[in-house]
Amino acid sequence: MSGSPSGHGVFSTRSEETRRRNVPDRVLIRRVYKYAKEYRRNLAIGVITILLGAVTGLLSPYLHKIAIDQIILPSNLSGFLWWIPVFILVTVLNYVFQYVQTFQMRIVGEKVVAKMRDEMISKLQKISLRYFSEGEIGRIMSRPTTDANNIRIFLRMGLTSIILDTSSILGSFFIIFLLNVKLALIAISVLPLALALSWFLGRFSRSAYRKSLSTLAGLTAKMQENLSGIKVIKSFVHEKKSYEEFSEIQGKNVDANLSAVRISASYQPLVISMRIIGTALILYFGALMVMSGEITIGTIVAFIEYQFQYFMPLMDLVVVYDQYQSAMAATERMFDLIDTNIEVQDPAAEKAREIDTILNVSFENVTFGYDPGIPVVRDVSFTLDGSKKLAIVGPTGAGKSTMINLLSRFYDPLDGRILVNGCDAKDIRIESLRKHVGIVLQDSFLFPMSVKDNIRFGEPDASDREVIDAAMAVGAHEFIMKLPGGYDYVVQEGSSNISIGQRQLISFARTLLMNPKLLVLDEATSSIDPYTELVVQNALKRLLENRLAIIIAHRLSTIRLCDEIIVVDEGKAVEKGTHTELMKADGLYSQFYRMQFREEGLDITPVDT
Amino acid sequence: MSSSITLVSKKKVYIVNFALDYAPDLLVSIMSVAKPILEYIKTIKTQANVLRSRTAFKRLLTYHKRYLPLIVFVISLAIIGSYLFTLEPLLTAQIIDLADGYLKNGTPDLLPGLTASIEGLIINIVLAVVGFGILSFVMNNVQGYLAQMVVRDLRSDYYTKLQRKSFKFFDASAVGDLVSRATMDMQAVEAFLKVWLGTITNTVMVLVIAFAIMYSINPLMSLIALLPMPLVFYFQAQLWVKTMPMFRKMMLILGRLGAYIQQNIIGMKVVRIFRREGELDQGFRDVEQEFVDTAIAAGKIQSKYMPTAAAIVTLGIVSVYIYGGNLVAAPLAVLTIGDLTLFARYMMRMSFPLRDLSMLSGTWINAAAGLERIYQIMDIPEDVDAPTTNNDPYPTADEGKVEFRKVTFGYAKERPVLKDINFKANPGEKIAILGATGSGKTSLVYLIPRFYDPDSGSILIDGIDIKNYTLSDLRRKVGLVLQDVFIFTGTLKDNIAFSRPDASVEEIQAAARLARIHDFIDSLPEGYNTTVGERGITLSGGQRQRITIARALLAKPKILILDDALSFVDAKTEDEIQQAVEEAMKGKTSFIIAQRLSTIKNADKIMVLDNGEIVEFGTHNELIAKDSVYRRIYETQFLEKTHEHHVEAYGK
Repeated sequence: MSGSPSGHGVFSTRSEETRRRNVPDRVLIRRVYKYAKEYRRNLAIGVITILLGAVTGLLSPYLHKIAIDQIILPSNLSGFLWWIPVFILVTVLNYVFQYVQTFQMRIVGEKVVAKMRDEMISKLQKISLRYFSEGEIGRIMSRPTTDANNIRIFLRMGLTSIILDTSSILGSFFIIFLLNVKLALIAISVLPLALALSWFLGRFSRSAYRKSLSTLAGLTAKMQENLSGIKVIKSFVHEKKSYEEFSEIQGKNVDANLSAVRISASYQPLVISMRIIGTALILYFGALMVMSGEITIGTIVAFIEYQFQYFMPLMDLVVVYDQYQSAMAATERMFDLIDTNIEVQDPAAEKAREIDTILNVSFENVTFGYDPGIPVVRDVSFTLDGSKKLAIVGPTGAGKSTMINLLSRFYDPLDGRILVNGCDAKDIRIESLRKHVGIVLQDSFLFPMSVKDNIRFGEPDASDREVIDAAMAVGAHEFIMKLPGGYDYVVQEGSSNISIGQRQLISFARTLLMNPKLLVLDEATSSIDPYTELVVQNALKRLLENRLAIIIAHRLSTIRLCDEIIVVDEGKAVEKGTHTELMKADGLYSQFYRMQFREEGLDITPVDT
Repeated sequence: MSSSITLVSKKKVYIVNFALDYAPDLLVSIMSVAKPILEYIKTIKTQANVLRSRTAFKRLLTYHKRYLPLIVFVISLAIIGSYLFTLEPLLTAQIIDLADGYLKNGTPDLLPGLTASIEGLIINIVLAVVGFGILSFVMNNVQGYLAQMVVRDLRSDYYTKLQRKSFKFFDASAVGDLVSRATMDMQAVEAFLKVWLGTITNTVMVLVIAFAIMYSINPLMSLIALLPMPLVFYFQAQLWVKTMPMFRKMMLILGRLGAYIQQNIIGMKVVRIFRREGELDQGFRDVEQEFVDTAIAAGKIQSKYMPTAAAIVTLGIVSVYIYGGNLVAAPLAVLTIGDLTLFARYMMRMSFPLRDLSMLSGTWINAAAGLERIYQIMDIPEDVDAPTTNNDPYPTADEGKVEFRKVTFGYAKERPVLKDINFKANPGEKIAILGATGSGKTSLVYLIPRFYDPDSGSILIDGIDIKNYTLSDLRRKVGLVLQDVFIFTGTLKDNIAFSRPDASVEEIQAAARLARIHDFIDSLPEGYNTTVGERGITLSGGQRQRITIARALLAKPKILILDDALSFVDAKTEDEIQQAVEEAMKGKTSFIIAQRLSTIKNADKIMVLDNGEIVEFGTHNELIAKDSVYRRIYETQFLEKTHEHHVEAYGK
């Protein structure tokens, strides 16, 4: 059993998208509003101008009606004298309102989301590492990216639409009912059918769209894989087959897209047709009512124009409703991240200590497990002082890497305590503690920056000279100079210019530059060529000079550099002592040593015997 | 000694502190982890020129050639559909005039006839709109289909050409970037393709028909009605032309931001070890600020231009009402009220397609940007020049004799990685290659299957220059088992049969047996059909190694290139791998990049490379006899370990 951390309950749900939401909308909205508080002036202006804009928009058809009924038809052309200025005024006001509203709402939308994103990212820096385990990463990642974007788009367009469309619809309903109840009822009779069709189409369209997206993701993944392994494909002359596989997956995407096309192809014709049928109804009954004297011609014209103001917005609302739902879901997920507890915290300001260096470290009966019920480290105790180097050996999954996680307070022990310079690690300010603990992990993770910046990662203020010195000290300088661009060469994912061994050296230089008093090394297990192996060993010796060190060792040569050895099995420290002592004891350690000896190909009769 | 400058701009106050004595290092301290992204953002162009991308468009059209009949079909449907759609205002006007006429001088007995006429007109409207609906539906489908086909063809072309590129190209490229051109950039192209034909046809048709009808009623007024239209188009086009590139920039920033977040989440532990959380935070905010600034700038433009079209149309309609109103009210009723409404309706009707057309120009800008990126990759010259059929003299022997003559090579010409390499490898010989990283070992073996071409000199296989072989013949002769084991998503069978997809089951099993992996595969519930990769089982390091060996064995190459590095596995697996490797090397000319003593000792010849040159080449005994580099390595690395530690472990 390895110490794989169990995810936080909410984060580990697989089917997040379809999960039923727990938090009511108004709670979410209220919380989002807190972020908008700073911009409430913009928000208020925005909303007010939306409403005013709706009003001016609604005036226009009415003015047309007046023009027709009171000015043109009765040949009362002098009416234009007041009508023209009024109309122009209304149009200009409408323009101004729309201008202001667009701009203000845009500001609010972008800035509010930016604040929420910032808070999420800040949270990410502090929450426990358990959330960063492999299975969970995709989920955490989507919150400040896709989810935030979702909300952003909604705030930009959806929110405005809701306010505008609703006012438009309500306003035009009000007006047409005011003009003539009977004709109004006829006019809106086509709406239920149109809404129903639009709703159903929406459902199909959504699932077709999802299929489109997922097949595209499949295509992307295939291309990604093929291009990553293109060298293998080319060397085995596999291009034709690769193309066929690509083509097949692309075909699936095309099919999914065509299904989506079929659905979306029907949307616009359907909506327009329904609208014009609505117009036809208005015209038929309206004409009859005109002829019977119930209404005027201007009224029919107004009705036809008002139809635009309720029909299209209503169809739009169906779409916006969906956007609203997914925005709410995204908001809930985002707050979930923001609400996550920070497990490892700095001590209270009064109690917080700072350290200048590390003189000694000890584990006192430390017990820990990612899952509290399953301890991975049990009652482990040891002490390091002076410039002692401690090697930790043991079978895989015994809890060795976990102990490293505890040293730098990535997690806190469940029981027992860790002492640094005699005081509890929990009482030391985290930044101060980590400054003096240099951890080199198994995989030498480098960032997509220049070699120089990578080495400087722990000390951004270091000069170029210091960077080069560190590189030279670990024996990395030569190969770095051979890289295109030398120290300015930007490390890339899967870059073939830097071998695994070289990455190790760069990561050693990075740690060396930081000059930590305590070195913690989780030795890499993958092998490297004998030349670089030698260089790495020398670099290690250099790194260990004048430092306290704890090393999870795999190679015999590394163990030999250490003063004391602890053998860990199933979380417990079962053997402790120097190499000679443990070999004499003929226990787990000596077994391990002999096995390793054979593995390293050293079990061969030397040539000259 | 330090001093500070205070810079005040409209909104912010910048205070810059600098220390005079180490000013150059100041730049270091403002290094942000997000620096590469910020630099990239600077390169994104937001100025766009619609007409500049004529060639991109022409090239896009070539992909339409084979679908010409479909295009004609779409256009015809669009024409007829537009016509039907544009009829409605005309029919509406007639109905209004009938009603108006009745009001003015109608008598009750005329009602039934009038009602019938109106009913007839209504039915016509409904028929027209239903017809339009059906035609429109069909047209949208065909247009959508067409778009999918063109995208498919373009993407397939892109992928095919991509596969043919050289190793040098792939060394310098980021896979993510190559893929995003086929997906994200392609989406921009798709968005354009989905609508362009219909939009253009529809706009032209509506403008022509509406204008024709209006002109036939009153030429002067039709001109008045037409007047605002160019303005509408202009302002709308300005809107899209200016904002579309900005939207694209925002999308690109979001993409990078996502990758940045991902990178740092994956490396979160390292970030915390080196206490860079604050920097990360700041870097993120810097990038985000760029995003928000662009979004708001786009918002400003949108707020200015978006309502403009509506305002212009409305004012245009006002002019029509005023002018037309006069005509209608005039004693001689030059114009009917129905006609007036018709003009107003048509003006509205014309403005919508114009807005669609202007949006199309914006869509095109993004599509053109995407196309340029796609073409750019496609146009890069392909892999090393190779004949399509084997040249004379046709290679007859197939023994695996390899010869290097005066080979010099470097990834960059000025920095040769191999200098004047000369050697001969006899068929079936095992050659161990030793050297420091960067000494040229990998480059040397990569030259054999022509992954790269030497800058000078030649390489011969079985007496024939490798440049005379077809690439597929050449590469089939050479098998590779490298450290970078690539297992593809698929079945184990597919992975082993990689080199020969049509190999028989027996052949595959035989290769697996030789690679000492058959028993393991057999033990799995689904055996050879077990899926590996993303959604399949995960193989251990040793298992992956053996799959690669099986892969190489199945291909039955005459020359084998082997990287000896293995992750530490348990002794038993190590043994099996060793046996598999031995098996693999039987009867083949093998080049082994050596890591382990046992491998070197079993080699026929040992080649030591230093700084790109062969410094030693001979058998183990020959080299040991001399005071060679090899001997020194042997003694320090291996011998010391074996002797001293051997004593320690076993007491003898």
